[in-house]
Amino acid sequence: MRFFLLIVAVLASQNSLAQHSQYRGFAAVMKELSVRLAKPGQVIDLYEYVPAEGLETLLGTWYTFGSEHEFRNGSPNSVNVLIWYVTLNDLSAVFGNSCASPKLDFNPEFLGVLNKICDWPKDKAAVEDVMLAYWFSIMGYNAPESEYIQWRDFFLKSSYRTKTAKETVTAMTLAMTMNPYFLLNR
Amino acid sequence: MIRREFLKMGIAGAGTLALRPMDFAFGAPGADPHFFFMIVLNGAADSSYMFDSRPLSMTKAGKIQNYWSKPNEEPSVWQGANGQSCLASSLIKPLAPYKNKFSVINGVFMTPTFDGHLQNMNFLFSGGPFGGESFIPHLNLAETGATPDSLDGLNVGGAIEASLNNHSSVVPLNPESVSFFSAKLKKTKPPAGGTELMDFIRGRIGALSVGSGRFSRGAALMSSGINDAPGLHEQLTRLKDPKTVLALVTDCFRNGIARSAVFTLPEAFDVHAADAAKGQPELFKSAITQIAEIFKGLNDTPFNATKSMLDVTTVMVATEMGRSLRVNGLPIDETGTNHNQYCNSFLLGGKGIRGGLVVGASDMADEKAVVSKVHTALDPIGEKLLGRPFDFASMSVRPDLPETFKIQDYLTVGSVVNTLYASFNVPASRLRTLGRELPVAPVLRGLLA
Repeated sequence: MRFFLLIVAVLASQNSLAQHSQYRGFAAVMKELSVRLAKPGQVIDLYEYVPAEGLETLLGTWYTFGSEHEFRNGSPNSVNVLIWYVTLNDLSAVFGNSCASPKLDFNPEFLGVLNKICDWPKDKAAVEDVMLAYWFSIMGYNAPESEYIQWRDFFLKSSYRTKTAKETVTAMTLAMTMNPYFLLNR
Repeated sequence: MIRREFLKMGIAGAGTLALRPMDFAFGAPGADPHFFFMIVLNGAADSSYMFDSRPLSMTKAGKIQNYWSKPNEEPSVWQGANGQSCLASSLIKPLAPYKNKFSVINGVFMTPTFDGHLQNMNFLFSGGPFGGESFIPHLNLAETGATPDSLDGLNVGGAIEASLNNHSSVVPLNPESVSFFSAKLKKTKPPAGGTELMDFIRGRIGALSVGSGRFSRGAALMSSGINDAPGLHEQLTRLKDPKTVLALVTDCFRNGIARSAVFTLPEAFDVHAADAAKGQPELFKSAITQIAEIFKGLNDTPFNATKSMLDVTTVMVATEMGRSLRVNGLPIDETGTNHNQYCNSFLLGGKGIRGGLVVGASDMADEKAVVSKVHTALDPIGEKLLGRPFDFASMSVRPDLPETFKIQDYLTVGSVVNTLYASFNVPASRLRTLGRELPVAPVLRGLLA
């Protein structure tokens, strides 16, 4: 009987919690960006862009009590969407500004990709291999190809096609990092 | 800075709010502003240290531990305006000035089947021992007739230790971070539609939210969040650098940012060991001081030209369950206490609630009290109080001693929450039942103002 109750309790508890994907969390996003974009041993310090100290804990964080580990504040809401937006908006602007000269400790591979996309709006930047390389550098394999196509077509067909590299790279980065495939667990 | 200091500063801050012209810009004529402030005592607080004390003779008879009273200091009678009373420890003195602002609800059954913290905290918030939908967001639904605030609630204290699936819009915030956030937002454009880029970003989030899978539901929450974000952005930039928890809460209430606030106090009331139990007077002293400061702060802070924050805010003080009288087999002056899901206490006051009442009671009023067969069946060794049978029509305790357990005979947390629901006009379809195939937990009509 006790075993039955335990099973019921576990199932009910899981059912109550597993209703929607949660954020991957601030630390996971920072680590992923660092691994993909920064020089080995360096980090893309997202803390610099969070609007206030402590707010990063609202973007999904692990809580540890003794041997228990629990992921908290991972459900999207208007406050944390706003915090992500402010944080990633500022980070994206740094990427756009890096077209003039790198503002972060980017690794050589990413610098090569960034240099090519920063030729925007020239035709040689608005081609598949350059755009796909920029997409993969930041998004990795988090999103399906269909999402890349949406992103690519937007920048090829909107007014960004003729805007400066600084504006466009900033917008490209924000559009990627605010995508649910980038921020949420699947 | 510790939370207590925030609250203290809140009292000072509350005074300055009175001079602000913006105070009078809200609470438009015709609107019926209503907010909810919940104070949680985490760990199962022993109500005998507040409004359900026992005479010293019961301690002398070895029935109940008592580390709060001085030698020969009997608890005092807390007389309700409804003719009912309870015994109160001297620790509650800071709350005495607000006696008419809240009512005491004693003898409340939590979940009869489980005595764990999580199960009873779940039961308090959701009505189920395994969690589910919390009542907090229900107070902010459009179906109440009020325009929903941007957030269902603020969590301004410790984490809410419960398994709740609708708290995505009950957001942990503190005054310091909100001040910086507000300042930063003033320099950042809101993520509103109307530009090519934001329309694309919002469009992708919206497109990915179509579907019933977990990812789609997460994207739907992001979509809802980004749709609400521009309004919240504007509201947060209006905040005037709240320095305290209380100022943050009242500013958020006044600006339509949040309907509710949950403040879990830092004190830990789970005192199984004797040494921990002996620390209860200090724990309660600290907690009661904070509760009194919140009542004072809400009472002294204007909402608009004619109403105080307390006039527009319902306040609940709650803990997940009660505690046993003692640990069986240990000397009465060297014992801790265990969990007791059969008897809990609440304070409920502010808007929509009649203050100054005492509702319900626990059994074993003294060492000579005769208990029911129900009590003997649920608690054979006599170390737990039970709620006494309750007559909902007359709002009074019944004198009988039931022989068989029927939850309908007792005052339950379902009735407490349903009373809150009634005060917020939450539709009857959401009222909690007493269990499967059992009726709705009766609303405590006599508590409604």
